[in-house]
Amino acid sequence: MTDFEPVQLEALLADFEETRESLIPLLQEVQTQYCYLPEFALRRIASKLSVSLTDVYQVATFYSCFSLVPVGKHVVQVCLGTACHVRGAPRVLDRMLRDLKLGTPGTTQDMQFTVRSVRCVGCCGLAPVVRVDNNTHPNMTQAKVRGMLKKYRSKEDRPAGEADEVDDAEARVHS
Amino acid sequence: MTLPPRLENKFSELLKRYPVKRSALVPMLLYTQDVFGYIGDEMVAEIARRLDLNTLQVTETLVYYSMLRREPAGRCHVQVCTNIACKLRGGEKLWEHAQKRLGVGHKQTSADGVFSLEEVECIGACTGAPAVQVNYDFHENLTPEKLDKILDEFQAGRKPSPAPYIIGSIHERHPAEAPVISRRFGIPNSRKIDVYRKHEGYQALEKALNEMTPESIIEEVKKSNLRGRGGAGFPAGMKWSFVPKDSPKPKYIIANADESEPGTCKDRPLMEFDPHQLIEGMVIAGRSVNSYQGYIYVRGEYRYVLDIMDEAIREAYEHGFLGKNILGSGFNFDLCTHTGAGAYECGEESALMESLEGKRGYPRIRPPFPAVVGLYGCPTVINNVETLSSVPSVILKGAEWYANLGPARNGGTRLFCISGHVNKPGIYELPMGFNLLRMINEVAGGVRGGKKLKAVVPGGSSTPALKAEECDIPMDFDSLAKAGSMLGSGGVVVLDEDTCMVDFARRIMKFYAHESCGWCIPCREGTSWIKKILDRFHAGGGRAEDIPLIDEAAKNMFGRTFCPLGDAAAMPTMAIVKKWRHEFEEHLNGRCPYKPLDVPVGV
Repeated sequence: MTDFEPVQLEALLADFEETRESLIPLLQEVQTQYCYLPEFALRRIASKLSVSLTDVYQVATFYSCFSLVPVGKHVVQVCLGTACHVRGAPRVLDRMLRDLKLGTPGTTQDMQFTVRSVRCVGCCGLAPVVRVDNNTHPNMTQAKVRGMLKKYRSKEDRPAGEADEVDDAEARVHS
Repeated sequence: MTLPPRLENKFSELLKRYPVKRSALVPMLLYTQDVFGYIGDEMVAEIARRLDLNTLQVTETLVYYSMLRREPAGRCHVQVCTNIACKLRGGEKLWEHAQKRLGVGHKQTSADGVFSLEEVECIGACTGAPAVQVNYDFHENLTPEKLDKILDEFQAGRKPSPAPYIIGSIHERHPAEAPVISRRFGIPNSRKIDVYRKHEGYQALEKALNEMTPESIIEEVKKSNLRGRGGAGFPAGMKWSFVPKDSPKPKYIIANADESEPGTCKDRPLMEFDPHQLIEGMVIAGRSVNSYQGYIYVRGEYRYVLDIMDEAIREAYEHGFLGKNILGSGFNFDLCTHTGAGAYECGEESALMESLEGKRGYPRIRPPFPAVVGLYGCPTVINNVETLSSVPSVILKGAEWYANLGPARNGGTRLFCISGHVNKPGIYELPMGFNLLRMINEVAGGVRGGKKLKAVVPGGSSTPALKAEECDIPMDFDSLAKAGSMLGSGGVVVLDEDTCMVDFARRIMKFYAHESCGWCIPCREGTSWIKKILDRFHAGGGRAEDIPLIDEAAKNMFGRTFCPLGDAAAMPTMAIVKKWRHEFEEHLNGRCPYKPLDVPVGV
């Protein structure tokens, strides 16, 4: 859901105390609900918590899990930390960008995926690792990329003709 | 700031050596410490000023190197080695004794300021184990009584004479030995240029410059099957041929003399007894890739070796074997030494180059390989001292002769440093492919005290240990790879039946945890966690689930790091868990069942 609905925000704000300490949890909640931090929400939060908009902005831009622009339905994090790098993560990322027709990490036009490169996600033994939303995909290879993306792409959004292969592809990948 | 004249001279000389000022940083810091005993804030600022750096850059580099300190130490800095080769011969008992005797612990200084004490990692005296370094002087083959005498001398303000050379390097030749690169060991004044020239010295260089082309030199080295002696065994000629001929950038030759693989002490005598052989090899290597500058990166602990190399280089310049228009061939080659300051990691080629550039010794990702992008971003050939020292013999006597000394694809001879539980520890030059059991039983005089053989580390602590029954094996790169181990750096460490393998694994991991540079998370975390588990395990707190955990942690480190240090820590650990799992299980009742004879008895 990327459309901003002020009514929802008000309901959400009501659950938090109006103190500065609520800022990060509140931003996290908005990020979860809307997949990004709309400008209107930042302004409303600033006035509700009685902190300046600058303060809200500097917190929102410091943490990598906040985004000020809309992100795709699925956030794909390709780990480029040391261990993943050594075991071929750059090639996995390249393949992913090519498959999604992205020049650089970012969001696909259909808003299905946002690809990010991240540093160490803390499971070097599984390198190279890709995280999609909250799922960790271990031992990634270029060959596994397409099947993995298909699994996440919603049925109605899939290009015609792809729909039925999904589970098979995934099964092959994991076998 | 006015500096003492000798430091001032050293600084200005160092600044002339490198195309980039910062390269002088580590040597400047070490020489500063030699003069003042430590590196104070004013000197940090002064060095920063001279190198156009800020003090933070100097400090962050300083704190990386284990020999450099920011606080004064005692007048006599006593460094006791407890790494595997010394440990097997009583290094840990010696360390306990030293603490008791001096009344101070690790990195502490006695109240009168005379002594400070440090437990150090392998100082390259494995065949003279157990060994202690006092300041830069090596004292080898020690017992607590001998150490007491040495400390008494220092206490009285005298300076006892150090080991005259590395113990174990000069001995009666065993008939099986094939002295090639060590053939001048033991000749009086072998390090002087006149003596060297009397014994075939610089003849290979003449041949290479006058009769050969760069291409034919590389071809000859390729044909000789000379493989990298640092550990990986990569064919030297092949490495040289990767240097792009048409690159407009300067090309560099580096001799890796940062010998610090536990159990290995061959580069030290090669430079100590035959520095000109290394110089000659480097000039030939330089000629083959059209390089005009070489560096010899010597580990900081080998200060007297550095002085020997410096003197030999001076002689070589004087006689026209270095400098402009060498032997009238029109070929120019400059060479100088560079000192490290205590870091095992800097023996890894890419970290060594970072260190040579005056930075922390962090590894670089490959590709690109050093042959294309190396020192200062230029094509660089980096070889082990032993590899480069073998080059003159290859050129002079021919590739075929050299290749035929060893089995197929493993040309020549190898300096094997046999240490641990043998009767005659020593550095022996044997043909490649020599049988390991014969090496232990015949050449090194068998296992000490008539004990049974339990295990052998075939090539430095990074290589997986072999069980006694696996030891009937030719010592060459391919045979050992087939047996799941590595020929490595030639450090053969022999363990008798009383050795506790859990304790051995613990000591190995302690080393890697100490030396991990921290760049790659799997290695930094893996080594220190496995060390903690092994510490607890050997102390009696082992749990059954720890055994697979140790294995799993090591596996998760393997292949997930920029440089091979992570692998080097993982491989021996996985091998010990696999081959001696029953010894781990024997520890589960809370105590170690092994009673090793690790009293220091010397050689």
